[in-house]
Amino acid sequence: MFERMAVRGIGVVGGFGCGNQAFHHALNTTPQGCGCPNDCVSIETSYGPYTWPIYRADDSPLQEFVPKRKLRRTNKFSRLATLAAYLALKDAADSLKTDVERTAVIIATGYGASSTTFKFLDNVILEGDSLASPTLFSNSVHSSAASNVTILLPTHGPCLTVTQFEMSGVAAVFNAHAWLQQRRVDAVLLGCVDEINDVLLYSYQNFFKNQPPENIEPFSYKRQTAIPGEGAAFLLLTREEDSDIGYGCISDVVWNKPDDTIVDLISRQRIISAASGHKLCGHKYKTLFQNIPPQDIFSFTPLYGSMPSAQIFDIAAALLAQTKEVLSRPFVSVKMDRSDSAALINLT
Amino acid sequence: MANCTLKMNPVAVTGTGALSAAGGNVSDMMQTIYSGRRNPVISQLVRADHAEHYPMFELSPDWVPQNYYDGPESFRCGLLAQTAAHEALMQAQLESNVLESRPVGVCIGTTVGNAMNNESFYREFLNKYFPGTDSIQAYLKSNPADMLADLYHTHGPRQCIANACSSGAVAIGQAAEWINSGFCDIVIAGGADMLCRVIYNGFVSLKVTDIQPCRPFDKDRNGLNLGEGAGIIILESLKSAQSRNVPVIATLCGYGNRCDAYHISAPDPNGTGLELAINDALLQANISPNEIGFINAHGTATLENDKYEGMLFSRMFPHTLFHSTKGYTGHTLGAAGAIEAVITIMTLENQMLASSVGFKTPDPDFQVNPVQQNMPLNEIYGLSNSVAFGGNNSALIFKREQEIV
Repeated sequence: MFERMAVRGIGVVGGFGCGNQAFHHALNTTPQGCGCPNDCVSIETSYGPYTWPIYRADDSPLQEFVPKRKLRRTNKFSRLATLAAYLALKDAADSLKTDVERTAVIIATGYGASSTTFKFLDNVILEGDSLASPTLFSNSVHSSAASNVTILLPTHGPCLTVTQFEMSGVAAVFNAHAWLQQRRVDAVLLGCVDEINDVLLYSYQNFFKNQPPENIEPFSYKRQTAIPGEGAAFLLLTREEDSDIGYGCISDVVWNKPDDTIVDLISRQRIISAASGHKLCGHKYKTLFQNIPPQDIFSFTPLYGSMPSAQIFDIAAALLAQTKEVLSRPFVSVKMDRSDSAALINLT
Repeated sequence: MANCTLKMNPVAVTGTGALSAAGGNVSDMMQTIYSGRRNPVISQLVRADHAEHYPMFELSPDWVPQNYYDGPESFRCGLLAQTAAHEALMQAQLESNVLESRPVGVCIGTTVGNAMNNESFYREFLNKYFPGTDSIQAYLKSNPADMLADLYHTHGPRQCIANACSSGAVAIGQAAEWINSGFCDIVIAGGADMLCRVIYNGFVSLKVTDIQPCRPFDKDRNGLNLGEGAGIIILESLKSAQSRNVPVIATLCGYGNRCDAYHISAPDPNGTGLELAINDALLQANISPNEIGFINAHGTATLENDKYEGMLFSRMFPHTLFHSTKGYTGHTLGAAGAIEAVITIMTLENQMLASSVGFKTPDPDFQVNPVQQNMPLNEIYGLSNSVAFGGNNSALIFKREQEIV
């Protein structure tokens, strides 16, 4: 039986800014469905240069929590994760005394520390094998973000990094549930983090070979309108029994091929769609949502961009939106992947 | 906060599979390990421009799966995982009707298998030769957990664990957590990793590789040798194993996962995280340290790792036999914890602890030494440790289920 997990704190950093207030501000000033990329990058391709809009996240507010000298050898991937983790802990601090020693860290990421891997390769290719940087190598492993979070907090609790591309978020939720249910810890800092780099933008242009879009249109299922985003979203989760429920509860998780059970589940509540403008998945969302009234389907991806691990962002965004009465519980976060699986995270 | 206690229902191991430089399957690998032979090589495939050539434990070309060298490089970890999984599933008597009809999970640890580190693609990109999408397409399909799930048409949860060098052990531990949480009652769990230039250059840059065959726990040890391979075990609930009427080889009865919170690449010299992980595993198994019959140490043969692990054993397990098997397999990174879990299970089954090859001279920094010859056992519990970059520590305790003859 699924034991409900209370979301006691939320920390977010992305193209919209840093922190829950910045997210609320973006929510209030941006009509839903309209994208708001905050930066652009020029990419050279075999058929000329293209300028891609992106959702760029700023990690500098981390210095409010951690002295700059301690961050010297960390990468942006780790700093974004650590910033969001601190924000989630701070957000929960008013109502919850968290024992970090009894707190686990779980990070979901689609691309991992790819940017640092590419910097390491730059180093090897341009300087030679014998001048490879040990610092870049140490930070190029996907677990570097989770490790840096545990070092900077600090906590000796359990730690996990999950890379399951689009399904990284739901896989992370499965693990958090197991650790809380089995009393391994009292709280889980569960987050997602992904970072933009030139290879990613080059791949976008090479794959989609069209003029870069101006905005993400999550409900234009037949058009390629995805715009890459970067950032981190963290949730501080506890067992429901231990406290009041904070923002709400994750009450169930389903990960399966879309069958009658899934169709039934999504037909009974409002939907947070993870569709982020990728045409390849668009028709899958369209088919799954075919009997759902459009007014019951929400998408927050235009606020933070397209990234594989963003289902955690979706949960954070929906829970923050409900505090401003943009929508109300219960709702279900829905993510589809390339192999036609659907991940449902119920929030009540 | 609630007063928390760890709980774990023992999870059955019904199949094992592995390949490493010590052998292309579990039986051959154990035979090599018991023979004391090892064969690190100067790789002809993974070459780099360093003043020294560092030996590695490379898979024999006869053991690598079809298309290993011909297909996209990013598929190699998944292919190794598939080879080991095939062996494990055969032993577990799990056929497609079960795999496709029940919620079977897949949980695989790796370091290379989920990283976009294709050097030839990146060289072309950097030099503005504008590479096509083939490498990216291959990368998107190369997740070892997905490759296994797709091959066997499983439809339970799946995940790739990226906890660096403890990934394989953590994948097995998390698989047990999934079973205990009721998400699925069978999981294909383990780890897979391959040799490549990025990893080779990275470890050489850290100055932790030995130009000689590695010497775990030896006073004169001078670093690790890299290796490649895969280890897979089939975990299932005891109820599931009983209902399928298949032999239970061992049970996983304790799992610990803790952090050092110390440094991104160096271990905590006090071994804090590993000690906590071992204590959690002991608590779950409901046993005391002196009930552990033997330990498969992480034992990489780096100065720091072996020092703190040796000091920890001196403190916690002063009379317990232990060995490191990285002298036979090399350090297989994300696969290491899984391959060593298989070796631990087979050690319980065979009741024979293999000698710790490479060890000759005791290190005065700690009061314990690994076994120097194969040691007959009469033990029920075996502990396998895994340690990783960033201070990720994991401990697995396996229990022999068959009666000791």
